[in-house]
Amino acid sequence: MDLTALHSYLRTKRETTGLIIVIEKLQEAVFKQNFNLDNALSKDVPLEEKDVIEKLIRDSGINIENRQDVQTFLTKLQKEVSSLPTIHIILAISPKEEMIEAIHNWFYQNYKKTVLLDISVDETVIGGGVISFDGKANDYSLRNTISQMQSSG
Amino acid sequence: MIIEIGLIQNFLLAVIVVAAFSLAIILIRNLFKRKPADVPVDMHPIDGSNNRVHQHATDDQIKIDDKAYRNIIKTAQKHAKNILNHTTAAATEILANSKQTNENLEGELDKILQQIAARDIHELKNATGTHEAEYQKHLQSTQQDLLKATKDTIEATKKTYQEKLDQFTSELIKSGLSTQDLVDKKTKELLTVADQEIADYKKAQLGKVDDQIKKLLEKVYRDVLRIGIPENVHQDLIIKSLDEAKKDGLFKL
Repeated sequence: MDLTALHSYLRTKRETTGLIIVIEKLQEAVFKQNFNLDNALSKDVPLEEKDVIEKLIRDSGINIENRQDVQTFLTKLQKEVSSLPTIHIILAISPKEEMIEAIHNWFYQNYKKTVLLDISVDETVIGGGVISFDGKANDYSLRNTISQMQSSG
Repeated sequence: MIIEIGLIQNFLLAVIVVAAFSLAIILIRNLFKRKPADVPVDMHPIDGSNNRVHQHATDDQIKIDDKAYRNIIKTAQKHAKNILNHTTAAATEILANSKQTNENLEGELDKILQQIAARDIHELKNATGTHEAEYQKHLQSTQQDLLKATKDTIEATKKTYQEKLDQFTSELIKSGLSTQDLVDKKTKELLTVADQEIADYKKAQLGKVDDQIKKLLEKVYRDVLRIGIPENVHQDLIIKSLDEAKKDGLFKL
């Protein structure tokens, strides 16, 4: 599945949770009588997620009239989103849109992959960040740098 | 003792009464066995040679004898009565004396007993006083002995410890170490230990101070930099962190 359309939309863990909820609603709608994807997207999905899903469907080339194809697509999308790698980062400030975009793009540029960012805030970090992935963590904060400078005299 | 005296008195009284009756009987018998010579002429018995005269005289004599007999009986009875009265009076007197003797004896016995009791009490008092004095004496003696024993023990202990101290000093001198050397050595050891403890303490305290300074500096950095660092600088710092993480091989995507 081509998830390029998700890259600009799906950047954080919180956004992923919202998308998974939308997917679950659409899966329920597929089994209802007189199912219509456009009607379902218009009725049950926020505008931003609606645009992303419509783009993904178009890119996938599935027949939206076919319930089975739609169901297969939704199941696959849910699985792909749930399996996206998650990067945990502790920052000194609450990041704005531009900063999140820059971090997210960094991963795509360096690894050609879409990652989900799980960001939390701790002022004592001062600057930089504490980054952890797959059970490993390194402290790249200014707090740690200052502490090392003090320890070395 | 009183009972024995009463028995003796009764026995004596019985003997006296029996003796009085015996005496009365003997007197009566003697009156009837009186010799002819003692009898008046007309009352003498007639021998065989002069029977008729004698027989005639005998009848007359019977009348006389009967009268005499009556007189004799009366006299005997009078004597016996006198003896009995005398005996009774004597017995009564004896009994009275005996009773008085008993009373006297009882009184004397009481006196004796009182005297004995008084003597015993006196002796008891004397003995008590003597015992008390002896007890006090013994107590004083015991106290003195105890004091002496205590004093001796203290002296012995002092002597023992003095001997041990002398021995210890002697051994010290023999070993070539003077007391001053020992003190100096011990002082050096203590000073070394104290220096080490002080050094450890200083190190621990300095560590605490360092931690406090570090926390203070971090707070200053945080407060100053948090306000002073622009967002673009923050972003640059974050990207720099990601680059370092990539170098460290943190991301295995």
